[in-house]
Amino acid sequence: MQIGRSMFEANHAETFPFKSKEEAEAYYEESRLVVCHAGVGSILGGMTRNKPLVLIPRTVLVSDSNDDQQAIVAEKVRRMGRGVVVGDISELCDKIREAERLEFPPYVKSTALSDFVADLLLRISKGERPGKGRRRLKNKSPPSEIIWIEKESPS
Amino acid sequence: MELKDAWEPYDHTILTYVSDRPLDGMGELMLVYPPWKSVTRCLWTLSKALLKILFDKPDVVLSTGMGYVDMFAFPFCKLLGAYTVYIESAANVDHLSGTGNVVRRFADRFLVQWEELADKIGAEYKGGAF
Repeated sequence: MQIGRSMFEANHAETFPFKSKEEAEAYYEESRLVVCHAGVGSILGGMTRNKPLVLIPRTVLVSDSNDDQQAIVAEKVRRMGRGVVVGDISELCDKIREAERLEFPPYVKSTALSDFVADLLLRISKGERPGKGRRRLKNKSPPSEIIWIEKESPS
Repeated sequence: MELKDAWEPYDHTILTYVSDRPLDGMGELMLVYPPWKSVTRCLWTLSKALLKILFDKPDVVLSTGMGYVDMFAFPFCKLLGAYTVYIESAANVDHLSGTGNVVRRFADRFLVQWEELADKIGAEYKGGAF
């Protein structure tokens, strides 16, 4: 159980403030499931290793108007069938049991964004400055004639 | 870091906050003190970082939205003529972060990681975290 800078003492778990990247990865590998806030880092840590996730959005424990997105991300993971969302801390035990019964196909990492950035960097290294397609009104006609034009990059 | 494979082959410097988390194996770093820890140290380290950027003159800047710092560093890089790419955090599904809103006009490419957000605000979507 990672406790960060808090002084929490657990009765049934080993606690530590932080672990190095390798140690944390080892913990993920050995685990049967992962209980965490719905932060993208923790989610990916569990998901990429095909561990069921028990997600407790931060707003369940702390009323924090700045971070209202965690509940939405958690719901996305739940819809993918890779985790469960805890709405109230009293449901935690039941949700853990539910997560243990989850079945899902092996995670396949989506490389679309990475490939796009790699391609972009490659084009820039060749001297291009790729702009995204610009929306332009054709002859300033009404909206029904809006067309998308790929911006020509100077060669 | 999920995009590491894309940028690692190139000469790169990472601008990030000083924190407890492990920073090993990341290559060249420009460390900035977070403003919530110490405003004076933050301003000092940020100024040093901006000076380094001024001398390094990066060709490309890839940002995921460092709170507070990006609002200065990103437009600064744009002014220096770098090609600026902003990728919103995968944690934001419904609305942009504050940094994203401020920095948007300075970005040559502005990407988000959720299709519904892209449709909502007119940003680009080229794939996401999951």
